[in-house]
Amino acid sequence: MPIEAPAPVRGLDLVDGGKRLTARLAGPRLVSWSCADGRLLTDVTYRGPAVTAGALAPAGDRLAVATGDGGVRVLDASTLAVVTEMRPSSSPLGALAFSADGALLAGFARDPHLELTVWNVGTGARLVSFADAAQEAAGIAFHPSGRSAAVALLVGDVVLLDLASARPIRTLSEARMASEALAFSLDGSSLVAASYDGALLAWDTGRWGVRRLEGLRGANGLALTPDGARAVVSRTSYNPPETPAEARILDLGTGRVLAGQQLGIASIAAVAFTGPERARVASARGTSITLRELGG
Amino acid sequence: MPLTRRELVEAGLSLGAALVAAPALGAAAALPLTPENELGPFYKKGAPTSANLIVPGEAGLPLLVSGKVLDPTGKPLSGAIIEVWHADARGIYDLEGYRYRSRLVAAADGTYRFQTVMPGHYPERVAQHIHYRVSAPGRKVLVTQLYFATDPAFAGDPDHNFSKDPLVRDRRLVRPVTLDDSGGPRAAVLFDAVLGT
Repeated sequence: MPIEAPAPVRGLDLVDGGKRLTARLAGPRLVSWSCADGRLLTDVTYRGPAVTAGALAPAGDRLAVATGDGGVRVLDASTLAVVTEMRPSSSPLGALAFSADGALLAGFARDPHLELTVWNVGTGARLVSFADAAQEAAGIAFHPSGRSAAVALLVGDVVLLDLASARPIRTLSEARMASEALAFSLDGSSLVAASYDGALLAWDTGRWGVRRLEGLRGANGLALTPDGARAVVSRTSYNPPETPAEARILDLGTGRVLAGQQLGIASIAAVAFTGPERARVASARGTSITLRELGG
Repeated sequence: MPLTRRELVEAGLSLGAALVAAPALGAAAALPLTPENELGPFYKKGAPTSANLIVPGEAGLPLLVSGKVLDPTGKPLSGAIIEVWHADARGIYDLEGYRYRSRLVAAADGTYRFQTVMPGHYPERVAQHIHYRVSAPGRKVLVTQLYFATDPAFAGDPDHNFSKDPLVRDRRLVRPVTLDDSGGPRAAVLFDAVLGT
């Protein structure tokens, strides 16, 4: 299904179990459509200090923004009214990410060195600050318990952080390249990371044994089924830029590719499962968005 | 796109031009630390130890990169690990394999060298560059990038134009390029790495 955004798309999210598509535009302006029929649901623009980073909660109900003045706010995604004012970060932020349940918010400093802050979204309290001047971060995933987080480093390692003590618990060193996209299964029993070199690494979080599967070279998008049995991975067009964007559904038990589709040239993509072996894929280039169904 | 000899000569960097001034190694003089620069998303563990990164049949201006790994007093850091990686002449990084990637070991006098081709312009970056990650026992890991004064992006004036690539935050990372014409055009660059603690 083609959808035309009113301005160039800077970010895409498939939220509320893939039922809604939300595009983040300059401003930031947040525009949402129904994935069922492409109907416009909301179109709102944030009026405030210049925004340096933004992230939408997986349920689609909250938008977090970091601003150049050091502020971090959680907004109602349909009105952009401020819901929670977070205790400001010590450095301007360059990236934000919610936990799967929307209860925690991670912020990474704009400075390339790893400087992570985690807030409680409900209270705005700063829970954890963690810095490592020798590392740079590629991505983050919160354990569903909210007690730990996996931080992917640009050197390829994934560091598990205890959020109570802000101390590293374990370093997973099996990935050879950075994993921008990583996720825990809903029950927390597995952690999956899509490494840029095309490997999909699946750890059992009990014994931390790892399985290396063939994913998608240059992958930068990932979603898991609630039981963690299947993954949908996506990549956008880069290195070189004429590389077609692509998405695949993989069975994490067998490594088998269940479905795959090229997405044309796209600079942004988002994926979400809508059934046990069925995923929704949104991709964008400029103002043009395409919604696709993947798998049966 | 690889640089042509004409571009090198037009940039005023003909054969025999002075390379980077070698740092004075007097014990009293503290050498400035090599500026840091982003690691970028294309670092890959496990690169082979090879001083020859040239891939037979692939395009690109041959390039010799050499230098020393030192501490701030000028003492060579023998055994330092120098990991290098860059795009091919078309500006594409090898993600699946290890083309244009190497893990070198500094010699007893701190020297290292490798043969490769001039990197192309990666589409999301303004300037040609080679990534470095240098480590030595007891020293802070240095993550940086090497740039080329002859890069068309600097329009022949890297002093004024180095920041046309917003990631080039320090002029000192842009190094002169010389052309060696014996046996065909070949560029050469000197790049020392000074590691702190």
